Amino acid sequence: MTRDRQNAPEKIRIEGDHKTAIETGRNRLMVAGALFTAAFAVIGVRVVYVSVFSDNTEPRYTRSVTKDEKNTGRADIVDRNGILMATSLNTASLYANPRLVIDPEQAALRLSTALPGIDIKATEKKLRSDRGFIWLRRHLTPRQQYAVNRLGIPALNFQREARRMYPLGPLASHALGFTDIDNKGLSGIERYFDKELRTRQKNLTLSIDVRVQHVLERELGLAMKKFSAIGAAGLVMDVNTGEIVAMSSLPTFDPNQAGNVDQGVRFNRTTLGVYEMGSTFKIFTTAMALDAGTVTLRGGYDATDPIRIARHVINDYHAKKRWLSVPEIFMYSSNIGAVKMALHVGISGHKRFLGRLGMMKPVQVELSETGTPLSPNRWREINSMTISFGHGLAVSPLHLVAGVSAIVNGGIYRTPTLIRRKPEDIPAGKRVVSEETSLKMRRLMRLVVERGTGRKAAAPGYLVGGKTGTAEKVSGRGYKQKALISSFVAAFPMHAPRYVVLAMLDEAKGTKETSGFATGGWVAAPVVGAVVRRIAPVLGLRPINQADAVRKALSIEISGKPGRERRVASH
Amino acid sequence: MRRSTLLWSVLGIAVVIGLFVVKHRVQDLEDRLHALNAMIITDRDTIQVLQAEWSYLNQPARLEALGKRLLGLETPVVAQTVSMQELLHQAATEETPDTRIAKKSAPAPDRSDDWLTPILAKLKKTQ
Repeated sequence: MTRDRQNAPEKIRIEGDHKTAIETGRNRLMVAGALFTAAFAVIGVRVVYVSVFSDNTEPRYTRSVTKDEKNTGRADIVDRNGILMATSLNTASLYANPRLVIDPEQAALRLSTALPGIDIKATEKKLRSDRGFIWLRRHLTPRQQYAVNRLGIPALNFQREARRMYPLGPLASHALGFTDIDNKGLSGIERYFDKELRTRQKNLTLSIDVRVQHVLERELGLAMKKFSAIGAAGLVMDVNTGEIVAMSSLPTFDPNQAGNVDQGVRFNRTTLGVYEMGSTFKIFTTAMALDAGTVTLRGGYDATDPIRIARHVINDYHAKKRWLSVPEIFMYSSNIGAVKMALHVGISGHKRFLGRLGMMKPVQVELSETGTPLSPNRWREINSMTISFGHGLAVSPLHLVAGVSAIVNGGIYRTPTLIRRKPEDIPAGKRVVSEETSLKMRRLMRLVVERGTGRKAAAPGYLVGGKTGTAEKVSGRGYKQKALISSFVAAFPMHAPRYVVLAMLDEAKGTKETSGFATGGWVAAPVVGAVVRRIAPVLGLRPINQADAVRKALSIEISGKPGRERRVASH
Repeated sequence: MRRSTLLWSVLGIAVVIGLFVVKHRVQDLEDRLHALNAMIITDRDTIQVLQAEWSYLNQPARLEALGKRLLGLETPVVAQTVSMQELLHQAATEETPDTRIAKKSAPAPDRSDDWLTPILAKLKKTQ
C-alpha cells in the first residue's frame, strides 16, 4: 500500500515524508479502532442478548436438600400400617488401589486384625494385582470401618454404598423377595417392582399386615413341626378388596442372607407351587351347580355305589352308601356326589366356570413367581369328574383363595394384589356367581365347621366356615398314597365374610393325637382355627356373643329325601 | 468537570465495596448451607438406621416372646372382649350377672352419654 502511495501522483509527494508518516499512522489507528469497535459491539450485543433476551438466570452452585430426597438407592417397602419391611442403609465398603500398596503381605496381615475372617492369602494376592481398583469387603459395620481406618494403610479407601436390609428378618420373605449385593431385585416384590423401587422416592406400601403375617407363619410353623410336614403354605386375603393380608410359605429364609439359601427354600409355595387341591374344589363344584340351577339345597344325588369309569373307581372317603342331599355331599365331602353334580352341569359349563374363576391361567399378582395351572389338554368327561373333587387340575394356593373369596363375598371375583388398595382403587371385579348362591355357599361352609369335617377350625365368636381338602401328591404317573397335601380353606365371619384363610401342609404325617390321620380336617383345620382366633381381634373384628340369631340365619336343614328328616352324626 | 469526576469515582468505589461485601456474605451463606445439607443427610441416615432398628426390635415374634416371658401375656379369648357400649352400660348400672343375662335381649338403654358428659367436660377444660 505504501508503495502505491509512493508511486502515486506527485500531489502527495509534494507534502513531504512527514506527512506520509502521519497519514500512515492515522490509517493504522483507524484500522485498530475499527477492530476494537467491532469487538466491543460484539460484546455489547452479547451482553444485551444474555441479560435481556435469554432467560438463563445465574447458575446456582448450592441448593438445599429437598424434603423427601434420599441418598440411599432403593425406596423403602412398608406394610399396610407403615411398618418398615425393607429399607436401604448407607454402609461403607472397603476398596483398595493395589498400585499404591507398598507392602502387600504386611497390609493383608494387618487387615486381618481389623476384619477377622478375611482370607489373608487371597487378600495379599488381590493387593499384588496390577489393577487400579479392587473390592476388599463390601458393607462394613461402623466398628469395622473404624478399625480399618486406624490401620492407616494408604491404599485403602471407603466407598459409601446403600445396603438392602430387612429388619423383620424372615417374616414375609417370600412375598418381599430379596436383592443381590448390587441392590438389584432378584425375587418377590423386590424383583417385580425393581425399576420402580430404584427410581421412586416414596415408600411402597404393601397389603400385608405384619401382625397377621406373623400369626400365620407361627401357627403354620407349629403345625408343620407337629406333623413333620416338609412344607406349608398359608394365605389370608381380604375378600372385599382382593388384598393379600398375609402370605406365608414354609420353610422360610432370611432375606438378609439370601445368598446362601437353598433354592428349594426360596420356592414360594403360595404362588409358584401348583397342587391338586382335593376336596376344597367341591366349593366350586357345588357353587357352580347351585348357580346353574341344576340342583337346589334340598336336592341331592345317590351316592350308594362307587362310580366306575375306564379303569378308575371313584369312591367316598367317608362313605355313607345312600342318597345324599347337597349339604350332606358337601359336609361329608362325598366324591361321588360331587362328580354327579359336575356332570349334571356339563363338561363345557364346568370348564367355563373354572375359567371365570381364573383357574386356567397363572394368577395375576405382583410377583414374577407365579405358577401356571396344570390343566388337562383335552377336557373329557373323566377330567370333569376328577376335577369336581379337586384332582386332575393343579392350581396354586393363591388361585384357590382368590376363587373362594369370590364365592363367599357375594360372587365377585377380584384379582388378588400385594399392594394396598385405597378405597377408590378397589376394582369392580367380575361376577362369577349370584349373590344368592354366595349366601348358600356360606351356609354350607359354615355347616362343615359346625358339624362336618372341619370342626377343628372353629373359633368361638367369629363364625368360621370352610372346607377341608386332602389330596394325594402326584409322583410320576400315579399318586403317592402316603404323601398328602392337606388343606383347609375358610372364611370368617360367615354372616358377612371379611377374610379368607388358607392353611396347607405338604406331606404331613399323622400323630397319635390325630389317630394317625393327616387329612385336612385333622392337621390344617386347627391351624385355621388358631389363626382366626388370633388375627380377628387384631383386624378389628368384634366377636359375636349373641350369635344365636346370626347362627340360625346361617344354619341349614340337612334333609335326606324330602320329608325324611335325619339327624346327622358328624365325623 | 472535576466535581462530576469525583462523584463518579466515589460512586464507583462504593459499588465495588458493596459488591465485595455482598459476595463475601453469599459465600458465607453458601458454606453454611453446605454444612447444613451435610448435617441433614447425616441425620437422615441416622433416622433411617433408627427406623430400621425400631422395626427390628418390634418384630412380632420377638414381642410375642417378650410379652409371654416378662408380662405373662396370652392370646385373648372372646370372653375378654367387651364393646365400649357394653362396658359403659355395665359401669352405669352396676348389674349383677343374673340381671345382665335377662336384660341382654332387650336393647340396652343408651345411658352412655350422661355418664360420659362430666368426664368429657373436664377433659375439654384441661385442654
